[in-house]
Amino acid sequence: MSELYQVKALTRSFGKVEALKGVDLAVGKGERLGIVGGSGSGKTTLIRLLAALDVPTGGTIVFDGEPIRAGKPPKGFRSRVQVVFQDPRSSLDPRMKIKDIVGEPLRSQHRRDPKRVEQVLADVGLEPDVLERYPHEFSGGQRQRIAIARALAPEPEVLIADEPVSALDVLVRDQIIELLGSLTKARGLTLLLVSHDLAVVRRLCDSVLIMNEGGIAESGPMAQVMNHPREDYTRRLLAAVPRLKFGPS
Amino acid sequence: MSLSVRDLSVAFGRRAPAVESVGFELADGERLGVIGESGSGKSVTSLALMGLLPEYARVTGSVSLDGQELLGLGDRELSKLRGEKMSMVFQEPMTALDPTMRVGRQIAEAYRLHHPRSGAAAREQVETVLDKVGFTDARRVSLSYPHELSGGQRQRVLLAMAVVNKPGLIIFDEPTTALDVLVQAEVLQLIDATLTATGASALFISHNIAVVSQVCTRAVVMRGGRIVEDGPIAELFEHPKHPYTRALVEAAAHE
Repeated sequence: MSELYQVKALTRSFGKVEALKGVDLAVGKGERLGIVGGSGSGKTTLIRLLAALDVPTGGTIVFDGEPIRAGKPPKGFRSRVQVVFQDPRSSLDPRMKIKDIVGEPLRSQHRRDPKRVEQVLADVGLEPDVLERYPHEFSGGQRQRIAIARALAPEPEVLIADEPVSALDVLVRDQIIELLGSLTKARGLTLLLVSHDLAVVRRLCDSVLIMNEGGIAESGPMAQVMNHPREDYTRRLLAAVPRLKFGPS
Repeated sequence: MSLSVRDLSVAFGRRAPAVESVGFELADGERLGVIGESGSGKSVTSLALMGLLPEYARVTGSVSLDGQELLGLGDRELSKLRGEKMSMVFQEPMTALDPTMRVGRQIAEAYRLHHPRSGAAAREQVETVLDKVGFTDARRVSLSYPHELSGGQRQRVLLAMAVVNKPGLIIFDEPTTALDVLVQAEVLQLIDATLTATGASALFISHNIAVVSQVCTRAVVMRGGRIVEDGPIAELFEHPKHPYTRALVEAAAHE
């Protein structure tokens, strides 16, 4: 696996608060990496930097051989790397029709491609009749499908997802996890998935990064970290996950 | 305390009822889970029990606490019951606490509502109860403002406030949903210990059936304002009868 991201000694401070305290990280092409941690662990800060939505205080990020300088990503980066946020209510412009929302990343590449818009909507399980409608007409799960369609429209190589199912109901959540799994696999996408929920990461990723207090507590292949955690923090995190006491026999 | 809810319906304006013909029994000291997703009516049900719905809500049926009918009680009678006989812990402690007031004073006020003329005793109660919910530095915490505490600490303060008058029934509405896993596990343990110590009955509202399976002995599953299935936890999750319960259990077993 060749490396897509090379991150060295990455730091980010907000005033006196050190949100990231020197993170080293390599992400391979096609890797599906889960980033797990409690609130304030620095996981969202990290992926905002990886998405070039924020500027680091120190350290370097190299993307596919080219450095991201002071928040200025290399040419083509904005199409190659797409982001899906937690709350589709606030990430979709309420005044725009679905066809314009999903077509937006294409327009910034100076492409007008209604066929492509229809295709990605179909890929996420939505019918063409949604094209002329507005975000408020949809449920939370459908809005998240629309957000995923928008992210996939410019045929990105990397999908960054920040708590993509946390705002959803249990059953809808299950469907969106399935959808994200099949779409990333089918396209060989590199996935950076942030979640406070180990279960979600376990289903979608093949490697995992456990963050705590702005640093990396542990990282490695999913099965190794889940079954043989080396760090005490990871063990505590795994033990804290509420398990169903009784299950279908 | 025992709680008996019969044929409870709640409607707002001309919209379809938010809760329709809901009924369940809660025995003294029992812990009942109320499972449902958004829009299932689980929170409206709990607000109806506490008499916290807005005036334009039409509430019918019967809610009786240790034999006393609660529906139809006036504000004064209800405020006498709230805190002393039953209390509630909400999901978001940041909005349930007054941001401008030290948390010790907020707990003291809750105590003094039911124990007028008790300045010094109230202060003492505040520290005792903060102690009980696991703070080792009760005095410092009581002098803090909500924003100076972490999410888990704020949730423990809310729990302290809910138990300061030793109510017989505590309603928990998604008490750990806003917390991360490690803190959630701590708070759940604390809730469990507190209920065991006080012997209070509990209604535990949650969308997370794994959490409910850890805390409760029985549960009702709500959907679209109605109860679709109820029973002891083991039976409900091992042999779910309703397809909706089955789907919930399967989704949880995935995780």
